[in-house]
Amino acid sequence: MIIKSIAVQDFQCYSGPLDSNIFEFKPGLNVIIGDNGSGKSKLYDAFYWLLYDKVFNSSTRSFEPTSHVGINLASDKAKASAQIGEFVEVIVQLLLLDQSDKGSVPTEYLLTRSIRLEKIKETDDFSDPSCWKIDSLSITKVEMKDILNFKPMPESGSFDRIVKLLLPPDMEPYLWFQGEQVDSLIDFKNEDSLTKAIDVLSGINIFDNYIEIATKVAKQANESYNREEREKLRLNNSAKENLLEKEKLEKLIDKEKDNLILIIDNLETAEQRKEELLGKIEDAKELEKLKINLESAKGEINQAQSLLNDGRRNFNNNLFRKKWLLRNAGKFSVQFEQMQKKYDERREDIKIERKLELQQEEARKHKLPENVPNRQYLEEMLNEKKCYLCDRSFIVGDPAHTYLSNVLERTKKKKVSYTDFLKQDIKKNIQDLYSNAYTISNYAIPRVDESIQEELEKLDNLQATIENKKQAYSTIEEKLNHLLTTGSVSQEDAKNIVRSFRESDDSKDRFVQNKFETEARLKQYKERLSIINRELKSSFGGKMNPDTLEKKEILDDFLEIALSTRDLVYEEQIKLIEELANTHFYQMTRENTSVQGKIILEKRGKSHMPKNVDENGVELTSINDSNIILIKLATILAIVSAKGGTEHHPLITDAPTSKFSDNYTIGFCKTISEIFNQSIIISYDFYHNIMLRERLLKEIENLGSVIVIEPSQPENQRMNRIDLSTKISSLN
Amino acid sequence: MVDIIEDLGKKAPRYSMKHRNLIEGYARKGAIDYHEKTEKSYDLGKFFTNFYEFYIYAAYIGVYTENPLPLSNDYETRTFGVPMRDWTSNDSFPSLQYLWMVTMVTARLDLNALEDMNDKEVEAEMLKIKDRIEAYANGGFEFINSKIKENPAFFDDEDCFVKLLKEVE
Repeated sequence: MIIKSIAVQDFQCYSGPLDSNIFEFKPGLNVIIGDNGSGKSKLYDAFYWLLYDKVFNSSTRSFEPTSHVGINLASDKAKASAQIGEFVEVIVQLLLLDQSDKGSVPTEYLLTRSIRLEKIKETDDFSDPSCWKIDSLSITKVEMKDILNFKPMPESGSFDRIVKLLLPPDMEPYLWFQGEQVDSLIDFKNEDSLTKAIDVLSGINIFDNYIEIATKVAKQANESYNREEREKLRLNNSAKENLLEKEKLEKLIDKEKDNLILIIDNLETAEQRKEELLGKIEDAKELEKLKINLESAKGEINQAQSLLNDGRRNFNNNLFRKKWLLRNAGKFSVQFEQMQKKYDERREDIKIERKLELQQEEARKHKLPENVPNRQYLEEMLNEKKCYLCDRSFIVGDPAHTYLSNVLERTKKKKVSYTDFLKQDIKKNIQDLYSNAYTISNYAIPRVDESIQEELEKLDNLQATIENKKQAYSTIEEKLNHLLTTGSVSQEDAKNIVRSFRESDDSKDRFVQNKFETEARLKQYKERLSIINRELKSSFGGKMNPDTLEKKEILDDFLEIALSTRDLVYEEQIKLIEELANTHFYQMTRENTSVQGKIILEKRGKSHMPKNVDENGVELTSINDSNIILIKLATILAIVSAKGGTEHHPLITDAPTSKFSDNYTIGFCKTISEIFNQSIIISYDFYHNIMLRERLLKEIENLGSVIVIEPSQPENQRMNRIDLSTKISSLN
Repeated sequence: MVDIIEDLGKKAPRYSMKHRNLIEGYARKGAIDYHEKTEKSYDLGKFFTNFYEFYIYAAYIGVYTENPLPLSNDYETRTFGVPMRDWTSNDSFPSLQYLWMVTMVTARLDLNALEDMNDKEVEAEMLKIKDRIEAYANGGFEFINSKIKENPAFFDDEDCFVKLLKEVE
């Protein structure tokens, strides 16, 4: 079955009648090229709507039924130009050619889905749902071409039947996908993802049913065997004890087996996780190291900056602290010294002058009156209260005694101080001022220029240190950015990866230990059980009912066979997928100059992980994002080709190569053009990359139609969507 | 008996309001708390940690340029509301005391005559010294202002006030 054309009428950005929006396809590789926002996804939606009556909602990332999408299905231009009472009819039409019956004439089918909107009210906003009445259901129609004309197929269900012929439901996910779905479609970490694919190929699920049944009947047979055995041993006392121990051991063995399964499962998960992280751990560690270095460099810059700020702030404080302010004031200290010297000299002179005057005054005061004995005799006379001159005695208080006492007191010598002859004494003040000036002018001022130079140099050095540290910071940042661009790890993930790797490593060690201990216990229980069984057998002579024994043995074998067959088929299918995937991987990478290697799907626990190895099985490189998408695409192609779907069904995919380099893109196109009878890819890659477009046109031998779609208005001028339509032009 | 240092310390010199903007532009009003990381004089673009230090600086510029410019009546005058003894820290007191000494030298103060004066007369002399300090500071501010007008970029550098000292030696 191939698609001859798809035509759309007033479907979203495709405004206008069917004949103005028609895409014609041929056998081989058909490519629809468009810029972002040109209508590529809307075309993909038109396909999907026609076949499944659903439209993809990009905001919820899910397919929604037509009833939810409502009037948004119709083009704005058609809605804007409709008058009250007029209809907008959204139609998608697919023309198919069925060549499956080689012996007869190919059959053409025309599938149509449509829905009508009636304008019932006029408002400023043509998108207002209240202005429209929309059919509750879309209408489908299938027509088959007889010799000349298309005639409706009357059988009910014929629409679905044709859709299933085009895209069989089990293969539909692998025949029709968007680039971003590839990752989840083939999820190597998830056993279900490969099992689902293998089920498409081999119906592996039937073996799961066999296993379920075999488990159930083997359990029943074993239970009846055990019952009979117990019955036979009922009366034997020693056997009774053995029986009890046997039951206990069996329970313990079951429990330990369950434990072991769990431990092995956990161990595999931890190993798998560790393996996954192995490719990223070096980058993550380096990233973490660089982040720490960056932080530390930042800290050093801040510290140096803080020192520089302090230095700059304190720089002017030195005007006072280090007396820079006084660098020109030294001469005043010398002048003050001279002033002080003069002051001191003059002060001494004044002191002498004044002292002399005082002495004269003193001398004048000190002179005793005529006929009065000298001071010594006078004091003795007053003490003895007797006059040495007249030899008479005094009485204290009489006039003569009072007179002589006054004379003595008046002429007593006084101690002379400087303040006795000056009003102020500023000597200490002057000394203090001089002492301060002396220290400054002798110790601080001579060092000022040197000190300024030192501080300026200190600031310059700090500035230079900051510049150096900033340079170091930039170098680290550059390395970090380089690693982020080229490495496998984002900055946010790095810490988690390092932590997860450590945890996985620890978990792995713990599970290995648990496994070892559990296996040892299990071995011990089994050995003991074997002894008990031998003893029990000997205690009743091993005479069991032959039917019970036979039933038990046959059903145990049946379970064993079911399990091993399932594993065998699964592994065979994996081998088949691996082989076919390698063929496609080789085809897709042959344009690339680097070593291609081979994909192997290595069993890891319950799942299989891809590895890129050389001919000796040595791993070539850790697999990056575009490699993994390529391997997944090769696996998808392997599934379809193993099922034989490449001849009868078209591959339809949107943006499958968005993560690829040019060579991989061309390699993918060549591969699908060679293996599929028809394929349709919708892509942005060839829009701006003209060289890639030319390679597509030149290098793909089995090339169908190459169509470019462009909006009638560029995106930046698309304020008013009512004039929006889509221009479709063919390149070949 | 007058302690002339103590007496000078009690005096609060005035400045012309004409220079208020200049003072506020280059000096911080209050003292700096160096532990307060959010508001630093340097970060605020202020070169002096308080008004008084800028005043002392200006007075020295007035001394070095030999440009004592007595406060005129054309502009309102104000003190900082604080006597000189309370202006200073350990760092700046020696420079202030040195300024008193310099002013006494340039005023050719007769120290011996001072000792022959009564207290009131001495205090009047010290008032003259304070007036002279005001005149030096006023002259210094005038000089800085004219320098700013002449070359505003000069004051962009952190060491501008140090360079200015070299210009006026």
